[in-house]
Amino acid sequence: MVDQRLSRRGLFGLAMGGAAALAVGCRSATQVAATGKDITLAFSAAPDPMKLLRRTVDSPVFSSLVFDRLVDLDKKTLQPIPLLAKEWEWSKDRTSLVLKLREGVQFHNGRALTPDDVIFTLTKAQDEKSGAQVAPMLKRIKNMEAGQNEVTLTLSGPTSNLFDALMFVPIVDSTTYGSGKVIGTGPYVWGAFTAGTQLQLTRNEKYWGGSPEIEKITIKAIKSPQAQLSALQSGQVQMVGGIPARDIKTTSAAGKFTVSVTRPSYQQTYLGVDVRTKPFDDPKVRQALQYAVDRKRIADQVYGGYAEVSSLPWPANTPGVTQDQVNRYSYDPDKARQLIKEAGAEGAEVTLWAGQTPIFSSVLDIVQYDLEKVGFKVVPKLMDATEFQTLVVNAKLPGLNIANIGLVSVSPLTGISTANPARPGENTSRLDDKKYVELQQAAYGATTDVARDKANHDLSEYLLEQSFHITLAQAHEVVLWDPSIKSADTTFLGYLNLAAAKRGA
Amino acid sequence: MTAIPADRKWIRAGRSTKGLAGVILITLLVLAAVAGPLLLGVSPYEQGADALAGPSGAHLLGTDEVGRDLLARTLYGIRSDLLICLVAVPLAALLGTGLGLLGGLTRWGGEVIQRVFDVLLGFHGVILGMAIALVISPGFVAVVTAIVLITVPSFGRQARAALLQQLSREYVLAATTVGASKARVLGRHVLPNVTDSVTALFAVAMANAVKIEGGLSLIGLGIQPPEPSLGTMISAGSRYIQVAPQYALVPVLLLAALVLGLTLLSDAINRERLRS
Amino acid sequence: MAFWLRKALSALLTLWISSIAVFGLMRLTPGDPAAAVAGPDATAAQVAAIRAELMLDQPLLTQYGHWIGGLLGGDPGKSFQYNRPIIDLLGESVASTVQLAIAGIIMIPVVGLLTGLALVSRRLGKAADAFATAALSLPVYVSAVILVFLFAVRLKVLPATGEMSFLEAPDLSVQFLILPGIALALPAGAVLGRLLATEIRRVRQEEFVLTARAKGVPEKRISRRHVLPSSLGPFVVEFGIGIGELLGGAVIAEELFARNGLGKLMLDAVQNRDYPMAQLLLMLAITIAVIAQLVTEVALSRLDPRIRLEAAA
Repeated sequence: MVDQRLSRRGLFGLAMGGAAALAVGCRSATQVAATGKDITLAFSAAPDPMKLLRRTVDSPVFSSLVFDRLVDLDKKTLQPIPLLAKEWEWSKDRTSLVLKLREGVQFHNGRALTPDDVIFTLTKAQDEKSGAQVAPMLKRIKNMEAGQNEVTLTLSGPTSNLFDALMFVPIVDSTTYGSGKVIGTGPYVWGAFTAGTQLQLTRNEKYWGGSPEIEKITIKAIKSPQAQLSALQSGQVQMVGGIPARDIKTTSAAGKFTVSVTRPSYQQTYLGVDVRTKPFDDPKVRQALQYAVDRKRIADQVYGGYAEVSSLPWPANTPGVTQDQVNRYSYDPDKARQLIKEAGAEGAEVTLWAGQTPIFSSVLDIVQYDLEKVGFKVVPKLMDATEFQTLVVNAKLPGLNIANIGLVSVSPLTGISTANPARPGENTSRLDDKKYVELQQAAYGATTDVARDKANHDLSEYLLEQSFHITLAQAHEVVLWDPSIKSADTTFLGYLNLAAAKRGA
Repeated sequence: MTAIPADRKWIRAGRSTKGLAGVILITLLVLAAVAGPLLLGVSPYEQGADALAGPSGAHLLGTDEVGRDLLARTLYGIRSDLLICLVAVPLAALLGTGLGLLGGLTRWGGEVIQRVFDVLLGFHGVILGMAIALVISPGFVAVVTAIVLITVPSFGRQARAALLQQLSREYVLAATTVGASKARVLGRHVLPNVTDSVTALFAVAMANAVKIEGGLSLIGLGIQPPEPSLGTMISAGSRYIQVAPQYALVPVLLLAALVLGLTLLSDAINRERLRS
Repeated sequence: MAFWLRKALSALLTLWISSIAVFGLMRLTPGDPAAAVAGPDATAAQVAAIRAELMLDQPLLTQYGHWIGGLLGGDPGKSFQYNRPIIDLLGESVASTVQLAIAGIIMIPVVGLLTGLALVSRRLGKAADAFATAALSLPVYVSAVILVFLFAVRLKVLPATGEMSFLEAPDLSVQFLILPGIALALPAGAVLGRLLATEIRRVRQEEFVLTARAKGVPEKRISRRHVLPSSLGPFVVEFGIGIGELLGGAVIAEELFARNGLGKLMLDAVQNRDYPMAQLLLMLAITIAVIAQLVTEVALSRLDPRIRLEAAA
């Protein structure tokens, strides 16, 4: 028996020895310092070269690195900033625009940028098959003409938000578009690409804005937030962009990494109201919903504080919007109960739909609780994202639904024109009101500052009054950087700007 | 060779050390689920501003991400799990035994039923559950259906095997030779034995039901909010394991205790059966 | 010969019925794959165009024929969601799952041997028995949460979740595999441990051991030369079944440990109604289970001829 025990001890020793070798001999995956010259970024979705003109979750990552757009918008003033369009001039009646192109710009294949490339790209983007969300806005361009290094756009009518639309369109090389090759004029050249997994970019030394510092950028698709975080902690990547804001606080990430918020852009989380479902055909009941939801708690508990509390879909500093409008509906369950009583809708049973993600489950939890507090009987319908998506597309969500949209943070007009839930005429709320369409047309025509301010104010007032598209949160996207990366920036709507980025010790 | 009445066997099973441990664990958990919420007097649905707070006088286990009391939710969670077991397992036992007997008595039906059981067993439990939760939208009904479908084959096979075994026994042959009718032999002699062998599966099936509930919850297809269950608590809590480890850990330990209790009990019952 | 042929044919029949079940199940599921592909802000017209592109407007029988034809011809088609050949996508995810499975497989005999030897020891016997009962009956997520709490939250020696490519950083990659590997290996390891213990106890009593002992062969040599090898037979069979379970259990393990493997791919595919991808992965899981069952049945019939005779009767 003594011998037997010996052999057992031998086995134990072997196992322990193996574990010790692992623990002592190697780096630990829980903490690795970052070194090296190139940088690696991780996002939750991989770039898709077949949908270059569509803004998707992943496109801001590589789009602004490989491509240039005609203009960008300034984060603070929301005024256009020249990129490929060096300068521009409106006609007096604001129905035609001449864009002067920057000289000496070359595509990565060596071909010079021509006005025809711009016209080609815009024509593609007007077609909804390209998937471009701004297609309906670009359709207001009736004619495009190439001139001496300039393009003249003729519009069907004044279009106050044309630059919003142009800002979304990366200018592609007309000779290679659609062939699977990805060729732009941007600071980085599209390189080795494994679809769905990884993309490598090398710097464009002939970039018109000057050669960037960082030589090579690798963009990785890492779906799960936890995996992203561990890749960041172990130094495998230097930036991650898919970690839900509330997890920043609850993980050990906050102290170690630079947290940057893609302000002022955000995802608007909303409560959609089907206005043909009783009792929500009564605007009073819809307004009661506005008072019933505790937005502050949603911002804190679901978005970890990285969200703005507002009664409006668009930013609080939108010109023409008043503070009173922003704060119109503060949390007030008593007022909600009173409105419901006036409308005779006490104890009404309502269905609350949402797609299943950790974020929306939590929002649904809170909204359900708040609505039950004011006397509704809530039937929650949490379904998987695809099933929910199908119902959204077909506008089959009788009752209330929770979802989010992204482009409302640009401007009121662009927001309502690109998003299904709030589009005038046809929308998921099934609100068909001529007045709403008229307000949209008025906003298109509002080309002076005064007119624009009024249009924004009127649209805000309309949304507040009708309350069919209720803002729950303006949730910022959060990006974590390794502290070794300096001068990296995101521009308006989260497009990456790494032109000046450096990697220090 | 006659069967000892099932109830006596259960009692005797409870006398062995392991069986006793199982009975005690289960009793404690049932008590916690039934009396716990009454004693605690805190609502598992009441939300508050204080999210993911640590244990305190007001919240003995702290709060979850929307400020609900974790202890109350955990206790209600046990209740959900027990309820699921008590609905799904008897259903599966009835259905499975019925199909198994049918398969054992008719040749053609037997083939078809065997084939169906093979297909069901071919799916991994979680995958089958996933498919069901997608067709019926996730929730109590989907979880119960998944458990029933996953569990039916084992009851069916057990019933069929027991039936075939009994039919080939001498006493049945003897009874038929002395002229007893087939129905009489089945009812008086064979069925009690089959029932006995199926009953023994009960505790195991319940342990499995608890495991399946947890597995489905982890992939988001279990009981839906705001209703708590041990599985959904583990699923939600594991996201906050760094800041509030008790959120996932306590339900995990309780689920483990429930599964262990049922397993120990079923082991003890089986041992008793083998002995007799 | 006839026995295994009959079993193989019956397995094929099971697979065929399963293929209909899988195909039907995906179509029964509410939710439109085209809507998932089109994205949140697509219009109804865009969705309809995509539906035609994906051949979803064809009759069901045509779709089924197309799918089965492709499968038998070795081409499972393109993923709806990623618009890429499924084979490529599988290739990327398979590495992660294989690494996880290997980690589990390496851990099974480790856990099994340690448990088995502990079970037959006088001092550790009771504790090992309790451990084996727990390890055997508890689902993978229970051990996972406990392991993560102990080693990642408390001791902070191993990462809680995530993964790293083995080719890029093998040393780090291994650290991500230890916890999920142990969690996956526990039940199968406990089974092996129990079997091993029973076998060791039995073999110790058998004649050749007694003879060897009587002949004065040293005890150490007896256990190494005679007891262990003949105990390993059932051990190997159980090991095979364990592997089948391992792949099936990947869905939960990958979700818990945030790994992008086949399980995660399947869950994503089902949730996005990526029909071709989901169908292929479901069939793969079923095929593995059916083959595992077939192999076990055939192996058992070899060991015990009575089974063959009974089946033939």
